[in-house]
Amino acid sequence: MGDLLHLRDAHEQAQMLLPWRVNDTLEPGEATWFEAHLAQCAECRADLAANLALRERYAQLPVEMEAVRSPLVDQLADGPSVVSWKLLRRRVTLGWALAAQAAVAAAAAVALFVAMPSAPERDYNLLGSEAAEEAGNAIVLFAPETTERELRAALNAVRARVVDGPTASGAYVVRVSDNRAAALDRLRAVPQVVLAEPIDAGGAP
Amino acid sequence: MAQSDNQADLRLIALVGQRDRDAFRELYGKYQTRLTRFLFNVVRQPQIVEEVLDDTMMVVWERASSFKGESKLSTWMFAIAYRKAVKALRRYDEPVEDHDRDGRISTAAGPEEEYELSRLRRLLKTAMAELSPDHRAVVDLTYFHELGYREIAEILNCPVDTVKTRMFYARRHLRRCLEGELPDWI
Repeated sequence: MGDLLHLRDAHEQAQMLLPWRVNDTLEPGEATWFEAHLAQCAECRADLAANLALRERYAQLPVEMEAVRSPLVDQLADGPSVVSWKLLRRRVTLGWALAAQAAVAAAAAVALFVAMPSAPERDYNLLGSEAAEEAGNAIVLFAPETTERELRAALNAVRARVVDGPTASGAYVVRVSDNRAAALDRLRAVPQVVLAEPIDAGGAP
Repeated sequence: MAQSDNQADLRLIALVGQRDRDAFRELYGKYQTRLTRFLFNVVRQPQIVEEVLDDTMMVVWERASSFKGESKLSTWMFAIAYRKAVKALRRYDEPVEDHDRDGRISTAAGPEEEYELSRLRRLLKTAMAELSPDHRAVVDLTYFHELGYREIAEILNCPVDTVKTRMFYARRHLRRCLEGELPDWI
């Protein structure tokens, strides 16, 4: 009776460890013990074979990752410069001359973090056009838990005006008319601001 | 993970901690597919996967300098992703939409073998969908990401025995759903 109980305990223990025998991550002592049990347990041998097959089929199971339409993911797949280019083209009204520099200046910051809202596509505007004056020249990303009041206070403090946003991640395209570099420094000092970067060549970086 | 790969991860995260965006981009590219698959299997809703993936990478960017290397970087990142996924599921608090329903009732014809494989996949996906997010996470981390139970416990922030128990019940459920389908399963 005692032997039977001992065997049953061993079997239950083996059943708990079996998945990690399947993926071969058992520690050496456990692996040795498991193999010894396997030699005398037909049920565990069958279960191991079945789970090896299950693991193989599970690993081959297609996941519809193409259904994930993360702007971040999509844009990164195209590379940083293309990312910025697409992003700016889609979202921010900029002159052609600005776009190239913007792609460099904003590449990482914009590319990596900004999942811009689904605004209708806009065409580019030439420099000097009225619309160009309205273009955003900085991107500000707030921490997800930022309140509306904190956000407004941060932007008001540097007289920044929201041009586009927010995104799901809390990013805004803003227009800073005064000294942009100083304004962005002040924004970066705000605890709720994760990132504040220039996105065009207008004004000192 | 090979030692050299872990070293490469440590180098990357150190650079990310110094606000190196190229390093962040590289890190993102390296983990994007794995994290997306993991998240999809846990939350099963593309719109939440997108949000959680972005949130996860934001945390990685913000907290990179606090990563001390006490665990593997992958463990740390998967743990962040899991926590974010659980929070998102609670926030949405809505029934999981079954994106595969149409596919399951499809009667698409084809070579018999291919049809059988396709049918088995649909059965497996359905069986997985019936598990809780916690159980799906353990199955995915074990059978796709091939992690040990200690690392999984670290990611899920639960005792090792909980990981083993979840996997045991998940396997039992899958076995019940796939009874007679896998040739090796008796």
